[in-house]
Amino acid sequence: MEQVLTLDQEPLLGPKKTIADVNEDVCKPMERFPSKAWWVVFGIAASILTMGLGLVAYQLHMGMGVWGLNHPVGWGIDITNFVFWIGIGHAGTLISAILHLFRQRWRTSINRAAEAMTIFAVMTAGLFPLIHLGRNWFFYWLLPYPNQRGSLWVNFRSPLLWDVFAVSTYFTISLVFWYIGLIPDLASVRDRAKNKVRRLIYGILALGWRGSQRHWNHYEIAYLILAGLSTPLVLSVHSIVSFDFATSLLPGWHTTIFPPYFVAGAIFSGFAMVVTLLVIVRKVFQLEDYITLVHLENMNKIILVTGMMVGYAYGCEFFTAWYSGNIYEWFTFKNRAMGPYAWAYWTMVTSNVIAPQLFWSKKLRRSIPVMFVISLIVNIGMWFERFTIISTSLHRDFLPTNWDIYIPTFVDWGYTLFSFGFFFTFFLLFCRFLPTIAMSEVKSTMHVGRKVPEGEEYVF
Amino acid sequence: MEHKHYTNINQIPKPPAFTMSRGLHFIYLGLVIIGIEAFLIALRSDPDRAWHNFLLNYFYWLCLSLSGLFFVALQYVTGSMWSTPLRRVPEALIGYLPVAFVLLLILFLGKHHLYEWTHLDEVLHDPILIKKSAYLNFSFFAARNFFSFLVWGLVGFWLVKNSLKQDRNGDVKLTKLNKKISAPFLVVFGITFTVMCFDLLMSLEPHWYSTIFGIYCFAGLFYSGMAITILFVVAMKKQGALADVVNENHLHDLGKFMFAFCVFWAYIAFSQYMLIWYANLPEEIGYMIRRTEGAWTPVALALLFGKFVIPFFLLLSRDAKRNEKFLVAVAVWVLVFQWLDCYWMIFPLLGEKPVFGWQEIGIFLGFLGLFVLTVTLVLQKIPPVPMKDPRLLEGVNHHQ
Repeated sequence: MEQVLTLDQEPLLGPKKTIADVNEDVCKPMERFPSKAWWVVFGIAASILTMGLGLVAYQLHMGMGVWGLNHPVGWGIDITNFVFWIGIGHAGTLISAILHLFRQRWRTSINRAAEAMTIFAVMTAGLFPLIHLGRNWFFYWLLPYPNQRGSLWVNFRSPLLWDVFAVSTYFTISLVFWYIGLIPDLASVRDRAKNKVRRLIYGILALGWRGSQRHWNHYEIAYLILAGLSTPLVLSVHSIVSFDFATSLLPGWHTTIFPPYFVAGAIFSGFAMVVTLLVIVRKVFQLEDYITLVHLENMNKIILVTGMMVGYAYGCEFFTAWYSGNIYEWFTFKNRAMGPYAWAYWTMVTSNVIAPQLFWSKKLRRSIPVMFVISLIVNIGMWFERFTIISTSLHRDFLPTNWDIYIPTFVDWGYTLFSFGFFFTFFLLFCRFLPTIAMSEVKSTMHVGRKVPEGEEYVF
Repeated sequence: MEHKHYTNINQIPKPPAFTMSRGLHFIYLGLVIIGIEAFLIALRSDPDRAWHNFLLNYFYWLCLSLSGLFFVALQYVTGSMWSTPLRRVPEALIGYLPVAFVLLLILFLGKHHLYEWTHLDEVLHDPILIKKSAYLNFSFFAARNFFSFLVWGLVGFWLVKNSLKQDRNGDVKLTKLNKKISAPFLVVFGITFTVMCFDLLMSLEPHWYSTIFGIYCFAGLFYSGMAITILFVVAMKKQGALADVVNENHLHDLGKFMFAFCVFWAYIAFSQYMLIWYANLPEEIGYMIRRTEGAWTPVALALLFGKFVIPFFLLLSRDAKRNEKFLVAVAVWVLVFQWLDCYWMIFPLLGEKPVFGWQEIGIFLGFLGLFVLTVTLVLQKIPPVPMKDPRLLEGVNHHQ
């Protein structure tokens, strides 16, 4: 039967795909020897990762002084990168949890890759507070546990500690959610395996999935519960990251809109990263029939909406800075827009508020080159948003004698590069070893197995 | 419950028109008279209190009306199908906007009782208020309010007009046109609504500011908007107008939205409270001290439990959201606590002790009568279901 489409609805998948095609097309890239292109990209990412490890060793040896941080600017690119990557890690859970609750079936083609991206992005983000600790080998002091250091406890009133809880909870739930979703697909990969080692490894990972009705029943319930649990986490993680700033007394940091503003920004940047990655993935792995223009267009719509939410927050903050009548508040915002970091501020406004406006046009939001460029612009803009927030509020504080400027050193920039190497190494490994599309979920959106109008044939 | 599955839009039975009995009309009319009496008497005994009550109810019922406008626009933009059979309810809520405009003009008469910044002598002795006077002055205030009403009114009228026109000619283009109107409108709505909240409520304490304030009010708007929609939908279902087209799956979805915004409101309220409490800055903390300490503690706690904790648990289960009677009870509860939220924002200015008496009850009842009368008059005039909407079939067949 032809899929019945109401107004403005389009088929999610490319034409004439059968259930067997889904397995075939999605598993193909995993089952052949990696292509040259993959090796080249992986080589670059892994080299950058290695360079980053060298930088970590260098910093451990030399001390924190190798960074560009100075007296008023105690947080710089390190925390910028932390917030940036945490933000990237928001789209995955939004797609898998919130869109699931909203019955958005188009999520099925993109949720796997987006969730993988989430997990790797959170891992990448986690590096920065750890590196920033200085005495990195005491990282476990972040956790509250009974100890013999005169029973020295963590400061429960500090939002930095809340971050530890929020990020680790988010990571755990996202990982479990992702893994539960993977189980039926891992079983498919196992069943297709041609050699014993492969069958053994995927067999262990598939946890004995047989696809019985009872299995599916449990699976669906677990999935729904995890979706419910993850939904508040999408809001909580970046809200708590925003508390790092907003609980302070610093103009430009202390403002009540920060929690929802950071969440909107996180979803915005997360979706931009998903678009960047999936435009490449669908091309390289020939998945154009699964990740179609419908999916990409929907994501671009979300980018447009969340971009305007972020714009609302910029405007609201700026207006309130004036409206407050507080001279420090107003100075900070004037300094953002016209001070030494004005270039960063205007990069942020142009990239995050103005560039996505192109997506009002249906033609542009369905054009692959346009969306690819805009997604990159948005990624850059969101990085600069965090940089602007962090640096401009710190570098000129209440006493002009304290004023200074923050100039990142090669170590700061090296760490930024390192984060991309780290992220892409994991992401490329994921593309090689796991199905990049949730096969079982995509099948549920297909209209197969029903009567074909002409004859009595069934499509399987 | 058995549901009929329709395969063609023409199979859906034509619903009977919505009617309200004469008796009920008179009762609501009586409420309006009570409200006017209460307001006039209160105006003589304690004008400050009367005007604060007027502002509270003006804002409360305007938000409910705007929730309809926002919901209709949102459904068009997202291409939602499930909500099509019940869309006439939020469309009718828009019908209260012209009434609200008249009430706005009345509200202007009480400006000196409400807004400190309208007293020139006080502004001149206050360096901060002098700075703000470029924004907080009465002519600009009135202009902003007029502009917002102009946009809401025009767009609301246009959307409903197209929707009704489609009932006659079944033109698919009208749905597409409404989508095109709705998308930019939502952007404008976000800005105008924030400006209105800053103007009407935040400027009651002109020294205080909170950037999240617009979102806080919006959370309440959508939360209570779902509650009032549920009440009207159930009333129309009972009466027969929506009996064939709305089932418990639609109620379930409305209930889910109400639940989601229960949590969202709590999230926003917590963000605002916690950040102000934590920073403890003199220019911000006064607002929270006035609202959470002394005799106001019980009100703040009632808000926490009544607007979040209790409805959260009441709405958590699937069965609760699908049970008509239960959902109606929770919706009424939510509307009560939305009122308390507005009260909590406005009344601490009147004194250190919360007041509650015949003025609050009487004026509330007056607005209630006016609102219900207006909305039912609209509902009686228009066909209760958009019978030729291209998304109706999917919406009626909504079985999760």
